[in-house]
Order: sequence, then C-alpha cells, then structure tokens
Amino acid sequence: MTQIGYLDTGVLIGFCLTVDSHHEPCSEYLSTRPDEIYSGERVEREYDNTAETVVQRYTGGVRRHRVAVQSSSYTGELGPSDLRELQRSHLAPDNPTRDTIAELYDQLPQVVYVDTVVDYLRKLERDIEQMALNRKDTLDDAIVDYWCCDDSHPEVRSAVDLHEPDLTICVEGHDLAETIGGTVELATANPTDFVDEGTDTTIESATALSGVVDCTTA
Amino acid sequence: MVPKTVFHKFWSLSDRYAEAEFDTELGVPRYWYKYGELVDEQSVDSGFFVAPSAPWGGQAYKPVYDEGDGEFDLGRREQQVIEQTVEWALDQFDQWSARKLEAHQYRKHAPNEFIRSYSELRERLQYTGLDEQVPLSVYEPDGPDTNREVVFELLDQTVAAYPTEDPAFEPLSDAFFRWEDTARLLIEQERDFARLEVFLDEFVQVVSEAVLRFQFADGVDQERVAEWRTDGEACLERFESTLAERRSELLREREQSGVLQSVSATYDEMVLDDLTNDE
Repeated sequence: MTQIGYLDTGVLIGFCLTVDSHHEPCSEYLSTRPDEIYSGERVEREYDNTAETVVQRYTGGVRRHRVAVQSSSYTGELGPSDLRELQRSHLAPDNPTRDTIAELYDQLPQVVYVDTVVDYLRKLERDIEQMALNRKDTLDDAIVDYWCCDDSHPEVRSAVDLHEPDLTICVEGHDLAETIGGTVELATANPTDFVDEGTDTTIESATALSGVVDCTTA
Repeated sequence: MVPKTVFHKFWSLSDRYAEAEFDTELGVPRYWYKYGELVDEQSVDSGFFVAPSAPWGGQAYKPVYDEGDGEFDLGRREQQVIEQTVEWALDQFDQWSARKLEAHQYRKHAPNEFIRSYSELRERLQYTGLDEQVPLSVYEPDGPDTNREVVFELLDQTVAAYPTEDPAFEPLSDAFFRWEDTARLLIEQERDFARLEVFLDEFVQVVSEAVLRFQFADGVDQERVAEWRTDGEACLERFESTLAERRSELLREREQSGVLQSVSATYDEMVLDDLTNDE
C-alpha cells in the first residue's frame, strides 16, 4: 500500500528555514519514509507568512548592520580591537541577528579589510534569502499537491482537541486520507502540538490519518 | 519653438536664478522628478504660451505674443528681474539639449548628495556604453574588470550618501538598500550593464514618485502635492514587489557562499527560539 506523508507547517519551516538542526532530520524523513508527499493549502499559507517574516527579519538585521559598517568612518585594515569596537558601536543591541553576526566576527581573520567585512555580511544576507527560496523550490518539486479541502468535517473538529491553525491542518490531512486512500501519516516537526499528551492517539482514532510521526526524532 | 522638457528646465533654472541673484520669488511652481527639476503647469496660468503637438512626437512650446504685459500685473522691479533673468538664461543655456540641461540641474541643484550620486551612475551607464567596452584587463588571469569596479564604486558612493537621517527618505530606505545589493548581484552574475541601466531607471522612477515629487516641491498646488503623496505610496509598493521578484530570480541562480553554513548553529538556534517565542 502506498505510504503517504502529509507535512505540517513545522516540517516546511524546519526543512526550508533552518540550516542544519531541523533541516537534516526532515530531509532524512522525506528521502526515506513516504512513497508520496503531500501537504495542505493552509500549511503552505502559514509557511509563506512565516518564511516572509523570518527572512525579512534576519536579512533586514544583517543589512542594517552592513549599511552601518559601510557608512561608518572605518576604512582600510582592521585589527582585533577595531573589530571589537566596530561591533560595540555599530551592531545595535536590538538587532535580531546580533548573535549570528557576532559569531561571524569571531570567525574573521585577525586582520581584515572593512570591504571584506561588508562582503561577508552581503554573503550572509544573500545566503539566508537564497536558502529559503531554493529549499522551498525543492519541496515544491517533491510535493504532489498542497491539498485543498472544501468540507469542514465537523465530526473531526469536535473530536480533536487542537487550536487553529493546527485544527484546519489536521482536517485537511483527514480529507486527503479519506479521498485518496492509502496510508497517510501526519508528519510534524511540532511534537508539542501534534504528539504530546496523547494528541497523536486522538488524531489516529478520530481521523482517516494512519498516525502522527515526529520528523525530528523519526 | 522649444520641446517641453527644455522649456520646463529653462523655466525652473530661471526661477532659481531670480531667487538667488535678485532675491525675488517669482512663484514658479517647481518640483523634482526623474528628469531633473520641472515646472508644474497645472499650478500656473498658462495663457502666455501654447503647446501643440510637435513633429518629434512631443509638444512644442511657443509664446503667445498678443497677450499684453499688463495681463500679468507685474511691478516695475519684477519686470526688470524677469528681463535680466531671461537675458542670463539665454546667454547661459541657448541651444542646450534637454539632456545637457538635466545633467546641469543634477550637478548644481540636486536636493542632496544621494540624488547627485545615483545620477552620476545613471549618466555613466547611459553614455559610456560599458557593455561594449571590454577592458583589456579582463583577459588577464585574475585581472581586474575595471568597468565592474567603476559601477561598484559608484554604488558604494550612493550607499554612503543615502540620507538615513532624513525622515523624508525613511520609507524608501529598505527598498534602496535591497535594490543596491540586487544591482550588484546583477553585475556580479550577469555583467549586464544594459539591464542595470533599466533597473536603475526603475529605481529613479520610484525615488521620484515616492519621495522627490512631493518632498521637493516649491509653490505647487497643495491638493496636487497630496495626490502625489498618495500615488507615491502605491508606486513604492509596486516597486517592492517587482524588486522582490528580480532579486529572487538572481538568487535562485547563485551558488551558496558558505558564510551562513559557517554560523549555522547560532543561526538555527536564533530561528527556533524566535519561532517558539512567537507562538
């Protein structure tokens, strides 16, 4: 029987927006477990909103610091104390990417040109944006369909104790399983929402889904 | 008979001269736009000229001579100022093309250094044909590509000159810094100066409509300025979505640099922490 993986938003986020930590287990799940992969329309909408916010927040943070460095009075070669001072004076405490940028500075050579610092920051900004784009393209190629369901399935809604948007995601998965047949499991990277406190068992008994799998530990 | 663009620039330069040289405000409604400083015809009584269609496709501006001087109700001093100003303008700019007048306006009267900077890049792209000129140095192994370097240096200048402290430019700042990095990406990946020229032109259009036209308007009817302000917001939104598409296209073709990978642990921790806290 065809084994189908129905991905929740957490899997899309983990696969596309983290470099390694959640990307690797999600990638491992996708390449080994299901014969076919589906996701839901609501999942994609949630993912798109999150990805836009996350990517804008971090690229914006890197860009803000990069422009501050470019507009600063620093020129030519910088030594370790210059780099420390540059961070102290030009890396704002409220910059959302502060820790990542600080980590990048730690990896720079002892003596480095300002232009090289700017170049590294440009690369970081582009890498963040590009990673999300490329990985979403990869997922889109692998996903058969982002399932859309018109039926509200009140029987499922009343039986499963989930909040929105998780409830609609679960209903879309149920509708998919009911419509196409086969073994459809809900693949999640959010065990707190879909696995813990017996939620996985409730989903299994109240829906046409065969079960819930936590991609981050599968 | 003169073309519209020449007439407008001539008019605006004369008004500036009268103000600077004779401390006389003639009240010409001027505003900055893509092509330099222009005059808002809708805010003036235009009975003293006609502008029929011209053989070159635009409009030809001609004076109406039977309009008596008295119609304008000018004082003796204003009349003298106007006469001297016209004399000066003819002496300075007679036979100048619209392009030359525009370059002059940008160099002498641009409202700030940022506007001067991008216009310098624009001129360079428009008139020097960087596409056709392949510097000999690119044939040397690891030789510098001087045309690319020129463009990068001019882009750096525009970044350094961006008026971050000026609230008028605040709404545009994110779009500008994203645009600048995308322009650089375009040259790094495709070395396509002609495409950069179009891309810069689109940016100049949005600066003009989303900032310049209403922020640097002098004597223009207030209702019209308010209309421009509203149109400017929509124009910026459209530009942001086009920019996002162009940028994505270029990024999709790019190789990852490895910089994000080198800080992956800290980056992932930040993403997961933020997402957990946002829930």
